[in-house]
Order: sequence, then C-alpha cells, then structure tokens
Amino acid sequence: MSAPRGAVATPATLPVWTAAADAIDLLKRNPITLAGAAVIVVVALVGLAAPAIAPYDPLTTNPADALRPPGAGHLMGTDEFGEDIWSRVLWGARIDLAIALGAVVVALVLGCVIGAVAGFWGGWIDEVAMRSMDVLQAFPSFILAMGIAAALGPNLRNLILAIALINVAVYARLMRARLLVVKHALYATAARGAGNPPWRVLLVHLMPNCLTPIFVQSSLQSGWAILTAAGLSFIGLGVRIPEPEWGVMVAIGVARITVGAWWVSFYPGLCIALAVMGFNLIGDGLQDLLDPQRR
Amino acid sequence: MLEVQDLTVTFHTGRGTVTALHGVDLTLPTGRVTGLVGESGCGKTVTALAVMRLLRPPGEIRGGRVLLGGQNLLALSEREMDRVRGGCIAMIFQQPRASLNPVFPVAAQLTHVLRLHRGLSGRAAWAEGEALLARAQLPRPDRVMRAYPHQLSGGMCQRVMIALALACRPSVLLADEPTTALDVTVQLQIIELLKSLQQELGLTVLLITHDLGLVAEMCDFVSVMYAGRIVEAAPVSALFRRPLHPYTRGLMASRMRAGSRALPAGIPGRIPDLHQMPAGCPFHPRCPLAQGLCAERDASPETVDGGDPAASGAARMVRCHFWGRGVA
Repeated sequence: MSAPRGAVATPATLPVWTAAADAIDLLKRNPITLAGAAVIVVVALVGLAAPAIAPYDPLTTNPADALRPPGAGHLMGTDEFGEDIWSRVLWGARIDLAIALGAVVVALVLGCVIGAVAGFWGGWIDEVAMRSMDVLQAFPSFILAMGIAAALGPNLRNLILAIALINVAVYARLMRARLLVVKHALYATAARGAGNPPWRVLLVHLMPNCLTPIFVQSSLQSGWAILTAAGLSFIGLGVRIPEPEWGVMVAIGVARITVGAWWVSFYPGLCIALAVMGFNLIGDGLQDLLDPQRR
Repeated sequence: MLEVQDLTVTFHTGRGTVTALHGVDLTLPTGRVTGLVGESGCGKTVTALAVMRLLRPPGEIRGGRVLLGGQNLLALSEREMDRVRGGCIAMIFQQPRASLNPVFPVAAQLTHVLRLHRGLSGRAAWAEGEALLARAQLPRPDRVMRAYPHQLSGGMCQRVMIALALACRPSVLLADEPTTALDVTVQLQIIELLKSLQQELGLTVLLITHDLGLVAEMCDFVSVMYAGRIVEAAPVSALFRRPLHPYTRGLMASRMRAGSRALPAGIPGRIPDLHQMPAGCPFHPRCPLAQGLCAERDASPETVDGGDPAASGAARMVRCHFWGRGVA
C-alpha cells in the first residue's frame, strides 16, 4: 500500500449525492412505481391545465344537449344537465387532487407533531395524546367523517378537514412508534453532546429518521382520501352538485345507469379508480427512494 | 483543567436504586491526556456522560461537582450547558457509525454544528467543513462531504466524528473507547490522529479504554476504575513501573506481553452486580490481599509518592487498606 500513513483508501463507489439522478435511476429499476408515478403526474398535469384544455365550461348547462352518449363533440358524452363530462372530468382532477393533498398534508403535520411530542417526552403527555387518538379511532372512520362533515357543513374546506381528522391518529401512531425506536440512538446522544437543545434534537435529528414509513403511508392515504371524498360527496356531505368533483359526478349519473346512460357515472368512476391505483402503486417504491441506505 | 469531585450517580431500576458512581474524583490537567481504565460496566462511560450531563433517566447525578475553569457544570442551567456541550467539551463515542445521523450526508451534519456554535453558513461553512475533514486526514474531503454515513468505513466514520468534535474548537475532548469498534490497523491510525491533533491543539483529553497498551502509548496520567470507584490514579510511567492497587496489578498481569512465554493471568471472579455490592471494599471477593477488614469497610483514598524517583513528586493515589503488601 502506497497510501500515506494514517490515510484511508476511498471506496471506488462513493456516489456523488444528487437526489434527482437517484430518483430517476430508481424509477427505471422499478416499473410499478414508475407506472404509479406516471398516472399521478398525468392527473396532476391535467388538473393544472384543465382551464386551457377543457373544451367546455364545466358548469355551463345546456338542456338541449342532455344525456348525449360519447361521440364527436362530446368525447365522454353529457349528463342530464347537458354538461360536457370530458370537461368536468378534467376539472375534477384539480378538485380531487387538491382534496387528497390537502387532507394528507393536514393529517400528516398534525399527526407527526402529536406522535413526536408523545414519543419524545413520554409520561402523561404521551398518555393524553395517545388516548385522544384512541378516541378518534374508536369510531368507524367513514361514519366519523360523515359526522364531522355534517357538523361543519358541506363544502370543500370542511371535506378536507373531515378526511384529515380521521387520519391524524394513523400518522400519530406511526410517528410515535418510530420515535420510540430511534429516540435512544447514539446519534441523538451525540447531537445532544454537540450542544443541541432537546427540541432541536427531536426536530432536526430524530424526526427525519422517522419519515420513511410516514411518506409511504401518505401515498396510500392519498388514494384513500380521494375514495372517502368521493364517498362523502356521493351521499351529499362533501362537495355539492354541480361542482365537477368525481364523486359528485358519479352520484349525478347513478339514477341514469338503469336507463342506459352509463357514461355519466362511468368516466368519473374510472378516474377515481385510476388515481387511487396510481397512489397505491407509488407507495412501495417510495420506501426505496427515501431511505438513503436502500438506494 | 477539568476537575471531577466526588461525583455520585445512581440508576433507578425495577429492582431498586443502584449506585453506579461512588464519589468519583478525577483531574484532567490542561493539555494532557488522562486515561480512564477498567473492566466493562465499571462506570467509565457513565462518568463521561455525567460530565457532559447527558445521562438519561433512570440515571441521575446525585452529588459532586464538575469544575471547568472554576465553574461548576452541574450548577449550570440546561441552556448554559448547551453552550458548553460541543463548544467547550466535545465527546466521541465507541460506535462511530451509530453516532452519525443515517439520513443526512456528512456535509449537513458538519455545517449544522458550525452554524450552531460558530455562526458559519453557506460557502464558509462548507469550506470549513472540508478543512476539518482534511485535518482529520480523510482523503477527498469534497466527496466525503457528500457521502452518507453508511457509505463510509468505520475508520472514516470515526474521523468524521473527530472532525465534528473539533468543529467547535473545544478545549476538552472526552473519547469513549474511540478505537474499540475498529480494525487493529485502523485503531493505530485513529490513535496517531488523536495524538497529533491533541498536541497540535493543546487539547485536554479523557481517554476511556480498557486497553492498557493504548494507555501506555497515549496517556500522561491514568485513573483506574473499579465498580464505580477510582481505585488508583497515577502518572503513566509510575503506574506501569509500580502498580499499587491489587486490582491494577491484576490488570497488568492479564496483559499479553511480547517476549514472554507466560500466559496472561486473569483476575478470578467477575465484577460485582450493582444490586448486590459486597460490603466494604468492592474488590475484596476477588482480591489476593483481602483480609477481614476489607469486608468491613472500604478503604479511603490515600495519597502516596511511593518513593518512586521517576514520579518526581507527582502525587499518586491508591485506595486499598493493604496496598503496601506484595508491592515489589
């Protein structure tokens, strides 16, 4: 060895840290995640571009054109008010993604803070926080969401809040469980020894080490949030007719399926299924992407 | 000078309260390396953690003082203590990889400390970080900066830890078995690094180890610990020339020696369970010199010069009723 005394040979494969390159590389090796990510990216782009690409205004009714089957002029047909379903589906991407993101972000932030504080400080704080979560989880979640949405009043913001609240406990438990594992890690002691006050050890050193399962859960919860939102809207407790939300659109068409107007419910239903599937497919690959040791 | 006086630490367990440190006295002279040796479980790490006030419940400091520049660290508020930790006293640990945060690259951890204690940010922090890594003799500091801990070898991790510890220019370094988890060849490199940095920066070092060879190599002074008590403290040369306490002598006899065909002799028995401490001197059940008195009361620390001209008046301490017997 000609290495200078006291020097260590550099491993040949010491990768340069570039998150984007890693992500692309990972997606290439993981076609299922790639498919899921593609679906969600398309839905997101469609939602963003809806005002530009939708051929009709989603709220303009035209009784003369009611219940047209899919064909020229109306790609997915029209509903009983003569609204263009294709345009409404495009606009719906915007609303449903907003609900999914909003609900997940609110639940994630609330849940992570509650779980982290409970796990880190323990004692009575832990008891109060986690027993409150028990109470939340004691109700069937859809029924609880119905109750919250009904109490707050049916609109988009309250729908997001209702879906978020029934999910807080999931994140709180995940965060607390991970935190109990990493709390006594040597690097936490080392960070404390480097002069970090306890709250900063928690925020900067411990919580980032707990996030992988949280994000995996988030991707599954996003799909689930869309389902719940559609369900609540379907029974009239979420977004209301005539907003172009997929659940509402399914509800509008339900009564017409028996008379052969299948397209009114079918296309928005298909969108719900696709979006939910997209989020679920992302979940697995996310684990590999977020954990530096598994790259 | 860092002085530990009469430090007592207890742990509350399901089986009652045990005393892990019994009035430990320890002096770290400025700019010197002091060794702290003893078997596993005798309280070496607890001592270092207590000095940093990093003991977690159920551990509790029950008494004593830790004086740094005349200031009692145990009397400081948590906030004041946060400035001392890292800023005045830094600590490196036995498992270098586990002491680095696995989700952040080295750069993030280094610049974080530099911002915290020295107010550096951005490019200045990055440059200083690279300089520190270079100082810890890491090859290609620019690449190490971007690496995650799991991409580095154990030796490299310990060098990063040393860079992190020195980032805030502490005056005291507590090194808790810094080489135990490393390969023998890497151990030597890390020791050389610590030695050169210590001399260069005039660091006051507490080296916790159970490797007597390492003590002879690096330390100026040694304290020997047994069951939460300092049983002997002396300048290194004096201790190796003439160990006084029967436990120290046992440790010496249990070393492998070059050029000797004799098998190393072990110390019979094992360290006592903290829940069932023997009465009197805790070493008496294993001690070849033990007599009735030893089981009745513990010896108190005794200052001796041992009549050793090489120690040139440097005080040494021994804690044994009968240390004079059987000393060569």
